[in-house]
Amino acid sequence: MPGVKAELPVIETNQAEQLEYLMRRFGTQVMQLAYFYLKDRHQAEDLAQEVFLKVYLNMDKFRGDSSYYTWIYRITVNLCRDRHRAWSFRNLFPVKDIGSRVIGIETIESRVLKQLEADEIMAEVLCLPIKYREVIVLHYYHDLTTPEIARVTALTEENVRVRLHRGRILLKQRLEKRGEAGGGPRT
Amino acid sequence: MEDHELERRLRDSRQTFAKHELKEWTFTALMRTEVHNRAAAPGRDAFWQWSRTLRGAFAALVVGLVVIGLARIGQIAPNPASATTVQQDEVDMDGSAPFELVRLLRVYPEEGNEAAYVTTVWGGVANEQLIYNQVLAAGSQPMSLQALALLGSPKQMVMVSALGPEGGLWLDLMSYDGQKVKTYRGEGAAAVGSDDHAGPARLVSVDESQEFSSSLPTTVWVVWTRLVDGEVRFSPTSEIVMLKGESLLILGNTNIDHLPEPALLPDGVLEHQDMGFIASRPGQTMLKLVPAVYPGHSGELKVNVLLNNREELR
Repeated sequence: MPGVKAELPVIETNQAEQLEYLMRRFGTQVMQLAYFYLKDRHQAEDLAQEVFLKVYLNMDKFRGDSSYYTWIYRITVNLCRDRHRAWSFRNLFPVKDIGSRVIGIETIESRVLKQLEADEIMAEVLCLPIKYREVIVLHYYHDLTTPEIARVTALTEENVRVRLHRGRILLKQRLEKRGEAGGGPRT
Repeated sequence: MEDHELERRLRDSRQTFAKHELKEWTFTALMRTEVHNRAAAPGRDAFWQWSRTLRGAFAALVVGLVVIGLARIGQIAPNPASATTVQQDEVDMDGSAPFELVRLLRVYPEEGNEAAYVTTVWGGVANEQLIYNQVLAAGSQPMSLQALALLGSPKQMVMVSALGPEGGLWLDLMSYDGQKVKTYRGEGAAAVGSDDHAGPARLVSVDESQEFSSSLPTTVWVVWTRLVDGEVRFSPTSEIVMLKGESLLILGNTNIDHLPEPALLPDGVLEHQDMGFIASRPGQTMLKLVPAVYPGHSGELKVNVLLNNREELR
């Protein structure tokens, strides 16, 4: 995200004001990052609120060893991974696939998803296995460097590089297959 | 595709993303207020969580009832935003009562679009819980939904076959262990075991839950059995070459009461597992099937397990 890495001003206000500042500063990025994991707008909104509640509850433990955005991104990534692992989430009816068709309502989300799916490469990124998707998204869509991704995801830099490499290979294969098959056998 | 081409497309995609409607999707004042409220009353958060859970459960119940209602009405007119049951069956997927309800739905999206097909699996005491769904690609034409018996297991699998958009034959095999559904997918005539001249089907797992455990998809070899005049016939082969770690499923499309019990040589090459067998070490072995109703007959499947040389599979 442009500007994310800019130095934050020293916050010497009360915790509620700090929280408000951080939500205004990072709320949308956190929500959009969560969307890449969960592929569900409502889940992403819910998770973003959970992230900032956790930020608030742990604000006194933040020692400034990392920047705010690294800290908040790490919380987001951890919560997203937990949510994604949860059996209940994996088995949710994917609104992306048939929700809008069954209900027949043109929601903002369905319009957004149509646009997203129209973007071939975005659709393929969203279909990548989560361990590759997260590094690709953090690198290409949130502009994080390899060391920053390593801090956020608690991986080694080497591991991040390997996942980025393998993710790109998978993406290429999927895009080439899509080109050959004209869309693939299943959505 | 060259590396620099992929880089360019990813960078372009990021620009597209920035210009998307997602750009208008922001963390609103209402959301911030909700966080402040929760933060200001941490003791209330447990109640909030419960309240949210209850609200979620209620919403899920309402949505579930709507979907069940749509799904259970077998002959809804093909209006936009409706679904019609093409085929359904009660299948003992997890080997215990109650049976799961498997349904193939035709879904009519917005007017003017062609119908989509969805396979759903319902579990729970009264089949009220949607535990899995799979959307077929646009343009696919489903051919059949069929319950299949597994040798050596009380569980059954579900097979959905379809003609893909390009005219090729596709097969999905679904298993359920009581917690999650696994899907194995294959392509071509061999996948449905209909062609005696084709090789056995090699299917690849498409289970998303494996994303965290392994980047390599699980593959299974599927061999079919038939009883012909008391003899067990393996279709389409009597010999199979596998790699260590791959799974073997023996499917029978005969009456379940007539399914033979498998017997393994005690050499450790194949090991019995929940839904079939796993190739546990390199070597050759024999899987012997004796049909209960024709004890004097048997069928034998020779299995050759390789360490990791994929080239030798051919």
